[in-house]
Amino acid sequence: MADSDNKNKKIKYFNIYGRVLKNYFKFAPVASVFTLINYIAGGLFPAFTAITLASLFDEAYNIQQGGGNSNNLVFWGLLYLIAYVANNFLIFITELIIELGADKRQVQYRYLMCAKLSRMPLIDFENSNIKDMQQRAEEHLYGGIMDRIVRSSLQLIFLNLLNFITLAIVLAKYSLWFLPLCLVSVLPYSIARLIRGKEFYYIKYKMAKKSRRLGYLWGLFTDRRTVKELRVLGADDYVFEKWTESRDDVQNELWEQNRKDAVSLLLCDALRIIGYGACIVLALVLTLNKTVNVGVFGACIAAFFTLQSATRGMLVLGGELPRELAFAGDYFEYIDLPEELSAEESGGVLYSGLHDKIELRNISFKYPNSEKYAVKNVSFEIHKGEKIAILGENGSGKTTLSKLLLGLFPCEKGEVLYNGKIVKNFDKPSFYKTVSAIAQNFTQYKLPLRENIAMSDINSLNDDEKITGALKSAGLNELLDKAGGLDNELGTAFGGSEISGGQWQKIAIARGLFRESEFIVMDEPTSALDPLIETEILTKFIELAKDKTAIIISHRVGLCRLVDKIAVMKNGEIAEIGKHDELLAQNGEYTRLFTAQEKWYREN
Amino acid sequence: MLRQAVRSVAVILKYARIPTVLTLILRFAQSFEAPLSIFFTGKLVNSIGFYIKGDILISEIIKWAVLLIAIMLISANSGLFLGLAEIFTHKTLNKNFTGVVLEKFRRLDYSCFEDPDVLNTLERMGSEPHLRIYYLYNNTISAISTFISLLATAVVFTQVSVWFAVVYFILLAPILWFNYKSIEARQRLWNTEMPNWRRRTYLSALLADKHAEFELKTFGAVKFILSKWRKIADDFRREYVNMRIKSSKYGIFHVITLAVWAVFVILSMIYGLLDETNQAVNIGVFVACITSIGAILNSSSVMSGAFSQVSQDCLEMKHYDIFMSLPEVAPDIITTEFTPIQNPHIIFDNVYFSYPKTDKNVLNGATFEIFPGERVALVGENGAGKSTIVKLLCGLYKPNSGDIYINDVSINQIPASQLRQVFSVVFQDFCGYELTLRENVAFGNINKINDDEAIKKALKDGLLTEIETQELSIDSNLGKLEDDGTDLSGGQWQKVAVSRTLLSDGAFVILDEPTASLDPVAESKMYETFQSVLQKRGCVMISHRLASAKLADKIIVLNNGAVTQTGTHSELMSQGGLYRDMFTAQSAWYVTGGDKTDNG
Repeated sequence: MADSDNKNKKIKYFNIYGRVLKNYFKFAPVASVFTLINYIAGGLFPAFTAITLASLFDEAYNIQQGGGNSNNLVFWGLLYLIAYVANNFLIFITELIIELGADKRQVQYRYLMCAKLSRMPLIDFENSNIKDMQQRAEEHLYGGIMDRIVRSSLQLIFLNLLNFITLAIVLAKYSLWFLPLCLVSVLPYSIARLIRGKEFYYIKYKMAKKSRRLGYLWGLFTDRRTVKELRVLGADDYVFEKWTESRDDVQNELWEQNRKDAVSLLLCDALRIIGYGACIVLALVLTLNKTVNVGVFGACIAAFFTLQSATRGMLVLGGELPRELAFAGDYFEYIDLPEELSAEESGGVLYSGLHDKIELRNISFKYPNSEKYAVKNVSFEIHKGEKIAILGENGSGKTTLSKLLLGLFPCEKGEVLYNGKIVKNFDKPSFYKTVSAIAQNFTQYKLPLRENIAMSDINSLNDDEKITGALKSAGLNELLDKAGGLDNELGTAFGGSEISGGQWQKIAIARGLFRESEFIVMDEPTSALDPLIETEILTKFIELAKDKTAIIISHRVGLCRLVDKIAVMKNGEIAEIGKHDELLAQNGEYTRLFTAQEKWYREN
Repeated sequence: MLRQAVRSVAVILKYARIPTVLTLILRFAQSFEAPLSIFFTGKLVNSIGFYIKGDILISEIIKWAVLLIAIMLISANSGLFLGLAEIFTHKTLNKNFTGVVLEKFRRLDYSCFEDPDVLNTLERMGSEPHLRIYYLYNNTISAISTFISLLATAVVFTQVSVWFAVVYFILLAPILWFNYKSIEARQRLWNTEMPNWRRRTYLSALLADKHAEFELKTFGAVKFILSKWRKIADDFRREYVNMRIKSSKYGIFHVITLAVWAVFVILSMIYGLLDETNQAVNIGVFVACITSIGAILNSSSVMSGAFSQVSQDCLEMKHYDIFMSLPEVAPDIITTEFTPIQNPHIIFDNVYFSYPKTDKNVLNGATFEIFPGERVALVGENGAGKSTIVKLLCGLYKPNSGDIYINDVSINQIPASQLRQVFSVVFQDFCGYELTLRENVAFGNINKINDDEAIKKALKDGLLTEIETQELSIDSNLGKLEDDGTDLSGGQWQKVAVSRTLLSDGAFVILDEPTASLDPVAESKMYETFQSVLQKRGCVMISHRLASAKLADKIIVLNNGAVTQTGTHSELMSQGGLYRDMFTAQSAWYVTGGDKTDNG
């Protein structure tokens, strides 16, 4: 069982590695070739150095002993010089190109992430598991993990392994004794690394949670809102103590873990140096035996050093790889999630506008990971040109119903039909062309005023006249007078101008209005607006609905008197449906909602 | 910069003395590793030559070999001890220094938190200033120890000849300089990327936001946002590649100067060896110098890297310095015994107020009086100054002119700790804490944190029915910080915030928009609660739902920072003016009869 799990994991890792590698070459092919050049050159250079230096030193030794050939000395010296300088230049140029390539790939990966987001069905945004996956994927990307995987694996194979092999061959040429020595110098280090175990990663995971909590508590002292409240409440001493406790806890654990880590590193390094020392001693013995000459001895000292760092590099990189591949796997897991069908793929029926009616046929819906039905057995009809108000307490399913109506959430049971045809089968662009919405939690785009309005009909982005018209009819003339006019950026996030909550709300209305639609869903804002602005906005809703089929979601019972039909929702179901007077006469949920509000305004 | 670098060392020394002293000693010792290994390698190789010739004994060889291996062992182990010392420094620093920073946050004058300049400083200082100082210190000593190492190498080179050391010095300057410039240029490039990066992050956050995604999908604007992202990224990349290539000239210079050094070393070694009269360049020196060519490259990179980091760190330290010099709240000097003021008598006397660094007056001579036990509704349009009055009452800001009296004592004379006991507040932007429900409620009165009955009662009065239905217990974790945490809806959080004030004993309650996230039915219930729970206590309620105002003993109407009307609901309705306009506008949406569309 565990064995087959392991095997699967291995296959998965190979699979992930393959994709990472493919993307590496695909996203920046030139830079990728240079990566290879860099590593291969780096892999061969130490062996070449060892050969030239051995000859150079040997010649130098002979000359000092009164023999030797000065021409040879100059030859080997120049050869080494040329190789050294050329290698430096090569490293410089290839690293520049590699760096630019890494940047290009990083942008491409992020772009793919955004593109993925843009193709995800709306329902997945409600799914906290998917949200977690997305956040994990983004976090890993942020650290540049994809490039690191490929670079460290290529470095391992080409640079470090080549170093190891070529140096071993060169050294073996001088004396076969060096071969076992190479191994002996490398082995202790490898063993020590392996002994360190996997406990480390587990601790790291556990720590991440504690650190998050510590960071949260710290944040309570630095955020305006919490500072204000905690000071006035006098609870900051309590939180401070909690933070201190949590900090000490994190600190102690971190210290324990680091100490263990450092001690095992000590072991590794001590073994490494002992291996190095053994090499030098052996080389010395061989030199004194006259098995090798003094030049080779000099070159060997340098070669051993390279060998040591190559091994160290190999083991460190190799050790990190599985964890990094697991992280990269998180990214691909997200990228592979099913997407919304594109227009071409869906092969949908072209939608030519509403001529008959919208029908909700016994629809039910549950949010992902939830047991409770948010919408349950809802059935009613909306005829062309009708205005419907949906009423109900918070959490009764009003906004969810509107998303089902627009085909943005899939029904679990039942169907939404337009002109008798199922909404999800329509060709999406042709369907959404005819609808518009003003969302409850509308978005404040920190973008130019122009884009804030034309977002709903991006083809008219440069139609200044139309945009100005929409602004005027939403009562936003004052925004046009600001510097920059339509191109004035809104919101202070990127240095744009600050506007009030009421103005943002009106912009959302102007946006909904800007899109020419025959069916509109308007959701009353939850944010607190003063009564005068609120009235202005609700009046606008009524006005907007005039020549359209419309759904207005509101808490205001008064508004319901002006619509053709009222649907009252309770716990996801339709409790009542009908006209204002009919519903009042029934003395049910509508009457309850109505009196709850109305009694406060009644003049006694 | 030098001053700051020295200061960082001083700060670290202050908060983590023992590990720092240890680190400094180890670092100093370590800087001799490279020059000494060059020296010993030379000696060792030479001694082998002499031994083979029969000039010296084998013990000479063993001496140098042992020394060479020893220096490596010591340096490897000092690396380890350095690592341990570093961790220990971290630990001590975290213990002694983070608290200092957090204490500063706690003492910071509240106005700082609403000052955009300060917020900018805080953002740039980051959440871990102690780490920045540590990095500065670390880079400083790393630059210094590498420099010592390079100097000591020069001393070894005087063995060859004085001019060899001199040339080494002359070349070292440009090597370090060009390397520094090339690293710095990259750093600068990275800084220019920041605003661009933030914009892209904003756009991708839009795509990831479920509310924005609803709009974008309905409007078919998803592709627009995506292409906007792409365009920003591509525009920047083009610029980046250009700048990067242009700035790489320093890198080329660096490589060239290194090449000059290599040429010089090899030629002078060959020349010295061939020159029979030159005894200084023997085989040992020859081997040692040539193998050390690369070592200088490494050391110079480390030093330039550390140095450029030091300058970057210093820039960032500036934000920390600004932070530490920000104004603080005056410490509480409790002169009198504390006497809880049960039913405060509050007077606003001609109060003028503008937020720091703005010239628009938010309060323009606000004058009103709240009698003990009185329930007051504060109404007015958005931006009329209602929430500002709350902040002044809580002592978060001081009036520019005029005064506020509580029981005839000026608010300036009342210590903050006493003022806290007078008022219990739910702010408009109230917070939900990702802690346990118990803690969330007990923040209203921390003395009752273990009083389960009181907490349960407060929650019951605050209408959080989930306790009764046992969907939540008072020890449930709220928020998403813990795996078993429950995330509450806006309305539920609001109920928790209201419960918080209900826990406080007899304090005067201030409610700023307490029902904004509630639906009308829940809102209606909440009003009933207020009526019964706060019956004998004074309170100030701010709400746009004017139904709440009807319940008040007194309504204060605020317009442009001044009180324009005061009275009961019926008085104000008969008076006419802003209050009646607002009330009729709103009631039209609720009350039967009359033409509803006529109120715009």
